[in-house]
Amino acid sequence: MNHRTISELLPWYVNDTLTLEERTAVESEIDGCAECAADVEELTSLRDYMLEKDAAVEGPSETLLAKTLARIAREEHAPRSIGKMWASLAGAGWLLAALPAVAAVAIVAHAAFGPGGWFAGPTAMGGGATDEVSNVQFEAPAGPVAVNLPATRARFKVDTFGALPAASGNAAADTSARAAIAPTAAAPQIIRTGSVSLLVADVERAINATQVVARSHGGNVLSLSDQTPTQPGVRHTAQMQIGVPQYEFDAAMSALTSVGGVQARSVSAQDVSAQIVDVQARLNNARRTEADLLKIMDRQGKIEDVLAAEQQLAQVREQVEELDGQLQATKHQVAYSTIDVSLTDAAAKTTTVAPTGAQKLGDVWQAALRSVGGFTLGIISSVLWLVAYLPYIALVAVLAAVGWYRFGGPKKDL
Amino acid sequence: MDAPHAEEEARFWLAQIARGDRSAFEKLFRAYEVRLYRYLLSMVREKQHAEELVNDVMVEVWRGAPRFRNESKPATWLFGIAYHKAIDALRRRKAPTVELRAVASVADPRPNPEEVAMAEILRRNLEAAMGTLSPEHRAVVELALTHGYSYHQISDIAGCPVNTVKTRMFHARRHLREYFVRRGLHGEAS
Repeated sequence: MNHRTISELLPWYVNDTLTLEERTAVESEIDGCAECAADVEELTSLRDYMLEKDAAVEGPSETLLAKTLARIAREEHAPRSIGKMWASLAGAGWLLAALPAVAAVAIVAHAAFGPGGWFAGPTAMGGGATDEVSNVQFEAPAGPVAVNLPATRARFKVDTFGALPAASGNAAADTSARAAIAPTAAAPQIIRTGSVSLLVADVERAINATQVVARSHGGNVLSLSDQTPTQPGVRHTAQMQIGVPQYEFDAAMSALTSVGGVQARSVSAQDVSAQIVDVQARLNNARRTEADLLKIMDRQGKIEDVLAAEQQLAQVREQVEELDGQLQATKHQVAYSTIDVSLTDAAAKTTTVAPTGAQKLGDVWQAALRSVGGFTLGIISSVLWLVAYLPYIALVAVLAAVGWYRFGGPKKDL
Repeated sequence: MDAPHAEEEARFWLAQIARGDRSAFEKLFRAYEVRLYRYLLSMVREKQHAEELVNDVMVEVWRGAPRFRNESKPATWLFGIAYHKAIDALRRRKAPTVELRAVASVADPRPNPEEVAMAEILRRNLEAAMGTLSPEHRAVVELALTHGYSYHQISDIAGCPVNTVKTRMFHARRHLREYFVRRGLHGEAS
């Protein structure tokens, strides 16, 4: 490197942003060149002064963020001017995309109606001139486009030779790309939740498998409740909740079915579009109020007025934070779906424990009590049955007595 | 300049801002407002005007976040917007500000035995000298010496070739030196 090249690098040697190679070259030059060494000293001094000056600068006013947010909110609510729409259209690339179509129409028109063209009239053939203007119309997916062309009377349908579909394709690609990065107002905001009940061979392993499913779909386990049985005959169960990004919801639901046998499965969706729009509108209003209050505070006035404005500002800011939190929570619910997973061991706990003597006696006593209770209940039941059937029993008894008395009873001697 | 994690954070915020996330915008604003304000203040030298420009820059960030490409660093992108806003603002100004003239009047070289007083004179002279630089030259000096940007980064910020950045710096240094020499202050600063 020559002296001039080194000299040009000195400011960046001072601010320590040179590459190792550049730095080495500069240091080598400084050692042998008094002018460069003096320049470094001068630049270091200049930098120190500038840093000192910069450090002494007070920061911007506290209200700067609020002012910027208020301006953004105002601009978003303001009707769009033609200039902005034009700029937006150009920015979206639609004009560029449409250019091939316009060019194609111009070429076709020129070929058709220009000198020697397919539909060249008397002018092309050397006949009389026609200066009339009419329309050429072609059908396009986005609707018919009319272009004014000179020297024709007829109304033709012109093939665009693929130019327009290409243009439409570009516009569609651009639109879809924009849709991917910025949600449209029309896109429904849906909270999706699901639940799956699974019968599994081993709950512990199923818990691990569920964790793997959650993580492999970009989510995680949000809660876990594992009930390990302590008594025989009770099934081991566990309840889990996993969260996955909404776009992974279906895949995660499907993957969970491989963890065990599905006993029950449900999916529900809640459209919160209106709720989000409502909270957003309230938030915007609160932010506008905040900005207005800041303006009031910026004006010079009585201390009481400023204090009153400050009090109101604190309330509005609290409201802004609350609404913002609510909005973010709802958006998070939309973006992040939850799935409740219920895991049940397919086999009940079968391990038996040998009963002790006291447990045996206790069991016998319980059995005896149950038996006495059953016997007593049986007697009471029988009595009740008898009471209930008493009229019939009495009738049968009377009939039997009469019959016996008339036909079968002891005969009196005549 | 940003630490790697801060840079990643800023990239994340910009992606969120592109989706209309205001809380991410507020975080990005808080992370950069002081640096942008200081840079813009060093350029336009009026507090109110610098704040207005920060406002302009951040509104531009809100609108333009979908256009942010990950090839450049977030700070470079933000300072690039600020650079052009400042240059435009300074070009619209036809005459130096009152503040600059007031500083220049203090810039007479007066013998002062006190080091503090001399430092103050030099500081004010420096401000005045910087005020006589063209906006493009001043921006290069500020970005390199105050904000510590490399010439490659300044090239990205200003949207000009690296050699142009070096040439601007070279001429700015020569101009500042001549300014101090004319006032008999050259050598005092160092």
